[in-house]
Amino acid sequence: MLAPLDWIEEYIEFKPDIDDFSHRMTMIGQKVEGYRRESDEIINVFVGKILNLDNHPNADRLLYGKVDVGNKELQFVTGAKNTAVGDLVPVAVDGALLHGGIKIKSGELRGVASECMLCSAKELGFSKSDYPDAAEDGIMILPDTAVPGTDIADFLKLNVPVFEFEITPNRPDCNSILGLSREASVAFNCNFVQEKPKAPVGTGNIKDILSVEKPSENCLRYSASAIKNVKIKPSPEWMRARLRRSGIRPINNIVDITNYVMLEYGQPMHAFDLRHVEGQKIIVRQAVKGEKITTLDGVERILDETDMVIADMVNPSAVAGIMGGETSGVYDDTDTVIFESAVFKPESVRVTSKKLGLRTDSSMRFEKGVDSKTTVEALCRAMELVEMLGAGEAVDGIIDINTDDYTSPAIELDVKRINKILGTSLTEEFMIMTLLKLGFSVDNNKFVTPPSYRRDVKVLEDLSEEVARVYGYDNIPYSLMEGVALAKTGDLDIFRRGLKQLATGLGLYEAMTMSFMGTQTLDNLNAAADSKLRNAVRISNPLGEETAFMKTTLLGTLMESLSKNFASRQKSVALFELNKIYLPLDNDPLAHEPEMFSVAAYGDFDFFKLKGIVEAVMDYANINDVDYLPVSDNPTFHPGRTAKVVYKGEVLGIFGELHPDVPGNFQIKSRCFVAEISVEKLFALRGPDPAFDPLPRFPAVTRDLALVVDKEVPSADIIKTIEKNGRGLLEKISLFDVYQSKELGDDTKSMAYNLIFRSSDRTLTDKEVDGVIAEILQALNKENIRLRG
Amino acid sequence: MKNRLNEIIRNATAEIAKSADIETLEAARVRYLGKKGELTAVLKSMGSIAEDERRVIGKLANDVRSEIEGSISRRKRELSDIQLKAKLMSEKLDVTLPGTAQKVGKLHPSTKVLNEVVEIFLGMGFEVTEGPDIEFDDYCFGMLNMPKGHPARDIQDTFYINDKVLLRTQTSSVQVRTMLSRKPPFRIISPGRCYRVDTPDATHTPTFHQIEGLVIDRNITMSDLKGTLDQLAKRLYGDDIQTRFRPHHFPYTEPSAEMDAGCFMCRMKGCSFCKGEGYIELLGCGMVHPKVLSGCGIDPDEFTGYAFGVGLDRLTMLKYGINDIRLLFDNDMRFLSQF
Repeated sequence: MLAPLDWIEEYIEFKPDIDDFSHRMTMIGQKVEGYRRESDEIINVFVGKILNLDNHPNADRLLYGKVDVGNKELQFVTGAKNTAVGDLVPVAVDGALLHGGIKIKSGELRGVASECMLCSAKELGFSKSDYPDAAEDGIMILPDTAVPGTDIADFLKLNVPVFEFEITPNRPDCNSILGLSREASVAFNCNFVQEKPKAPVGTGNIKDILSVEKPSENCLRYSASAIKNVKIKPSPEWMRARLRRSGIRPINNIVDITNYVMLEYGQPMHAFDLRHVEGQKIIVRQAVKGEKITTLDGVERILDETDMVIADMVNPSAVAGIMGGETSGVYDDTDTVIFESAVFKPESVRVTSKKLGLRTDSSMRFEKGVDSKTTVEALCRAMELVEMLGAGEAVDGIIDINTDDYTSPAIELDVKRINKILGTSLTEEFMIMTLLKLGFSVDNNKFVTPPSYRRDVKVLEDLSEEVARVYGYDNIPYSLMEGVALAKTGDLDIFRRGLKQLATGLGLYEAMTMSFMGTQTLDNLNAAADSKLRNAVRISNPLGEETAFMKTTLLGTLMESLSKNFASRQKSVALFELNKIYLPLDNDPLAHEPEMFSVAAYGDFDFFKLKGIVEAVMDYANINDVDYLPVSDNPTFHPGRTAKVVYKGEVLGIFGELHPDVPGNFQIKSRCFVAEISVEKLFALRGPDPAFDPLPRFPAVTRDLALVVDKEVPSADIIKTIEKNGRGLLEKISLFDVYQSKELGDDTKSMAYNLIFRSSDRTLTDKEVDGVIAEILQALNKENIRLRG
Repeated sequence: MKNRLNEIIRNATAEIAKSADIETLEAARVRYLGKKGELTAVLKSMGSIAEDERRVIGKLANDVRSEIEGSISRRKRELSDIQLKAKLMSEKLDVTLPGTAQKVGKLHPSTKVLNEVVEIFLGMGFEVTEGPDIEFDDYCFGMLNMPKGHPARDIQDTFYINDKVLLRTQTSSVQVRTMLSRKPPFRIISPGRCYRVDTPDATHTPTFHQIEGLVIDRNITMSDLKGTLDQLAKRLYGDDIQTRFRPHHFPYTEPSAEMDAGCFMCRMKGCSFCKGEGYIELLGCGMVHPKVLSGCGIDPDEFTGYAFGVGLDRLTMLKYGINDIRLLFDNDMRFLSQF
């Protein structure tokens, strides 16, 4: 809400300092987002009087002359033809700033010195509607009252600060100058002064020229008045200026009056030409399905039963509370005008406004709620302005149909409880005084009734806020809660934090991706048509198809992140994400939301680096004896470079190189490696913290074995055989070399292992170890594995 | 003979002092103390002198020996010191060269800020609770004093799965779950992912993160709310940072407030970051609305409480001066490697 300060000052007995005003209004709950003056962007422009005017010696289309700007005479060059000697005009002198940040410097134009510039209304930031008399392609001619040398900002009163307020949804009453003035009067503890407008006294009777029916329950109150012998013309400059500063374009006196009253009272109004009210009857009704209306903006709207219209006997003439119809406005030759001052239900206006995609100053106010007590007063104000502006003659009487059954609640003022909520010790006297200032009434039994425009106040807690904001939130003390509370975070949270920390130690950067995916994402991952990844939760109103589903894997969005990095020519990227995936449930309207730990990398990376990370993760979870089983049938992955992690029959996750098609689908020209491990399972199956194992007291004996085996035999099988035959003395076995050569042949490979033997109760002898080795070799031989010669 | 011994010691001392390395020193030792050395020769010829003189000379010879031995070992130490020094100097490195890069990744800045906030609240006795992203409409709106038709639950702002299920717009849903399932008193914070129908731009993403808090107990006041959240700002940005509470409106709290924290960029002096205000809008908060309490089966006459909600993404952006929220979700290495 934009509010020119001078307008507010009309209603309070105080002239506040600007910064103080910002601060106090903010602290009472009407947050000032900022303020500006029109003069902020018009600098060094003065009233000048044209002293002489001649044809430019070197240019047919230009004129030049001298202008008196008070203390000196300056030469100008102009292309405008609407000026004459003696005219008073705005003059931008050297160093001036004009609308839109344009800077003016003195110079030369076709050989003639130009020391200043005569300005048009447009150059000062005004439109045709702001100054209807100003020539559109010419210099702005100022009235005779202008004195040369006066700053134009002073002369046109551009110095008025205009405040921008953030109005909270519970305070629709503050979408008005009067509402804000009321708040200001409380913030500054000064009087709020408003002379109530009087009911129009005129000739004739409105009932003779108009009747109103209100079958729609969505209209709470419909009030109307009329003026005849209307003289349409521009409204006076002060009114136009206030509208302009409040962000509303001036149109003509009648329309400007309706807008002026809307800004002042928060009561939207509409003006109809009686000629266009067929049957001289206004019917406020719900639209018929398929009913059409062309609104003022020239768009044809098709309505249905959920929309409310203001209609005459034949056609709808306005979409109620939102916008008038094309033919419903006032015209230059309008003779009789009907002012509508009505209140429509917020939900009704909101639904129609959203559906039509049409939001206006009027609909915005109705959506937030307009006090139905104000309609008649607003009409009176409009009629008062009509008289003041000489825009027409009042018709006697007001039509008023009111079906609003709102009654203000009576809330018992429980002083003790208010203080208990706030942590204060305010007196009853202070509370009552505050509430009275805010327009509440308090009866002898200490029951508080809020005014009609404060329908947000319903319970004692609401009163406590009123008291608190006037007392000042700043004055409520700071205290720390007493008592002991058991602080804790969940085991899963601790597990998750440790896992993230581990991942960074393993060289991975943490990524964070959105929760959505599209079917394209899964297609890019080569997911099969019947892949369970495709069983996803669908959003009924997504932003787009590519974000229509809740993701069932982190890999899609992680690959999209890799893709962006590849596009920006990052050589090597390794990301991880620990986040939820969303799986639909059969018997539950909500979803299963397990967390996954996923890795995606390209560049300086390979399968075994990835496996090392997976192994470290298993180790972190104290999960030993994991089986890594080859996976060759997952279309997302490389059939020969993929493994699943199996523990106690549960698949904890999958990892490997992506199928070569997949990186291409994501526009990555590099091998990619990904892993996805269920944090949920990892957490559930995690081992206990290991118990301490005493440090060995006896020395170890080490042996290396180089074995020749069939190429297809996995290392895990060899290790199993060796471990089984270690007679309990084999402490550790590790592979340290894999070797293939011509001599070995195409079908065999050499695998070299380092074996560490140790006993916990004696020093092993070479002889004993040799015996074990012999047994191991014997067992290996049975599997066609022999010692390399 | 005495002269001979004096001569030996003089020569030996000079030679030892002169020796520039261990080898020359060893040669000197052999020359004087070796089996065929000069001192040994003197001792060997002692048989030819008178007995009483022999005792004197013998003692003198022993003194000479131990003196030479002492000199040698002193010199040896000196030489090895010199040698070590020379060796160390020859190993000198250009310490300004870059270190060997270690492959270590980094946490996402939001995770770092979340951890920080969680620690602060754990320190004040809060529990961390979590709940589902896909949530019942009722837990997200209905029970928070936003009945059907309330403007805040507009279909245009909320992602719906169906009539009753939606993507939570705030983690207050976790607070509802807590109030329904537990008896007060409790102090909880619920960090988590939230959703709003927003086309991504510099300040909006359809997915974002909230940390919401709830305290319910007997005698909880707005003053407690101020004290607790003031601590949050001070722990995050420094003890000199002041907070300011302004009246605001939320359907689920009454009174409601917004808290501004003093601008930590200019230490509240006013700068471009805080648009000259000296304050930065940080979070929304208020005393839990009695309707919310009673709706969740908590007697508002016995218990009061406060609630607050702070945007984790906003905190992260403020902390690191990040100017576009989309960067938090883009996972650009040039971004992630900065924190």
